Amino acid sequence: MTLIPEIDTFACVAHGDCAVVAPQAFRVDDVAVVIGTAPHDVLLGAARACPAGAIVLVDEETGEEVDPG
Amino acid sequence: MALHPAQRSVELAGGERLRYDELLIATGSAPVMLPALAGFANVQGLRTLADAARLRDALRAGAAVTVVGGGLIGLEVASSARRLGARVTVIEAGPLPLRGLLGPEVGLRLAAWHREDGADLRLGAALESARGGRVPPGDATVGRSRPADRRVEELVLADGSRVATDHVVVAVGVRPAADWLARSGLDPRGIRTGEGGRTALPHVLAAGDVTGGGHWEAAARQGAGVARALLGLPPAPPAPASFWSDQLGLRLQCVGEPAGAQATLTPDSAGRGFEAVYRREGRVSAVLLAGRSPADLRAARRLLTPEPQLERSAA
Repeated sequence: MTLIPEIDTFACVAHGDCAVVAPQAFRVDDVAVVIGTAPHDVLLGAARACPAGAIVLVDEETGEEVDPG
Repeated sequence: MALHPAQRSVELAGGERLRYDELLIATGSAPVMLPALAGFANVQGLRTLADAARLRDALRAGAAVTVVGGGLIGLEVASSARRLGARVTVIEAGPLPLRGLLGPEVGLRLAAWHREDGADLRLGAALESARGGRVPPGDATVGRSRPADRRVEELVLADGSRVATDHVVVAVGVRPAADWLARSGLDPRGIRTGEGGRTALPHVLAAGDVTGGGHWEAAARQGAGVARALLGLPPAPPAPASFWSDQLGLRLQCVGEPAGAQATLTPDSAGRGFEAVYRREGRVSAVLLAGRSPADLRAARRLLTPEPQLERSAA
C-alpha cells in the first residue's frame, strides 16, 4: 500500500503539527503544503496530530481515504 | 504604551513615537487572575512558554495540583497532571464543566470521565481565600519575575471545605491585553471589528484575542483576513468557527457555535467517542466530535460552512 498525502487547504489553519511530525513530507506556508513523502507510520502520525483534520491520506491502489485511527 | 489615533502614532513606554500608515493591533490576551491568589509565588496562569515550563516543573508524581476553572484549559491541565501522576483538584464555579460552552449532556460525560481518571472535581464551588507560608529556597516551580515570596498551602472554598495544594493553575478565562488603549477611543474590553478587521478608528485594524475572541483557529483566520485586507485582496470565503481540545486521551473537535444551543448526543457503540449535534431554532449551529476521524471532521466543517452566494444567471 502506498499512501499519498494531501492537504485540505480549506480546513488547514497552519497549526504546523504536521511539519513537526513529518518535516520530510510537509511544510507550512500560509497553509500546509506537501513537499514529499514519509514512511506510513510517520504519515499516519501526522494525520492524527493535525487538530484541524486537514491531512487526507489516500491509498494509491484503491483511491480510498485511509482513517489514521 | 499609548495610541494617538489623531496623530496616527503609537507612543512607546520610553516616549518614542512611531507613525503609521496602517496600524494592526494584535496584543492578544492575558489570563484573568484572582485577587484571593494575588501575591503567591506558586500560582500561575497558562498562556506563555514560560508558563508552560513552570507548569512542567510543577507537575510531578505525587504533587498536589489545584486547577481553578473547569474550562478547556483547566480540564486539559487536569488530564495532563493525572497522566504525570499528580494529585488533581479542579475547582469549578458552575454545576458542570464546560456547561456554558458545550451544554449539560457533554458536561456530564466529561465530569464523569475526569472523576474516573482520578481528578477531584469540586463543582458549584467558589474559592474564598488562600493560606500559605514562605517559599523554601531553590524552588524551581516559583516564577522568577515575581517579587512574591509566599506559597499557597491551602485553599478555602466558600462552603468551608479546604484543599491542600502544592501548585495552583488559574484557568478562569482571558481578557484582552488592551489596557494601553484605555484613552484611544477603542474598547479595551474587546475591540469591535468589521470587515477585514477594521476598527471604528480609521487606519486601525485588530485581530486575534484582543478583539475578545478566544480560540487558536479564530485568531489564525482573523490574522490571515486582516493581512488580505491590508494587501487589498478580496476576503477569503467565510469559515465556521472551530476549536479542539485533547484530554483523557480523547480528541474533542468542534465546528460552529455550540454555546446555548440544544445538543443531541450520539455515543459510539464502544469507547468514549461520540458526536453531538447542536441545533438552534431548528438549524444545526455546531457539531462536536469526540474521537472521530479527520474525514468526519471535514464533513462537519462542510455542513457548517455557509453556501457561497451564487450569482443569478441571466435567463
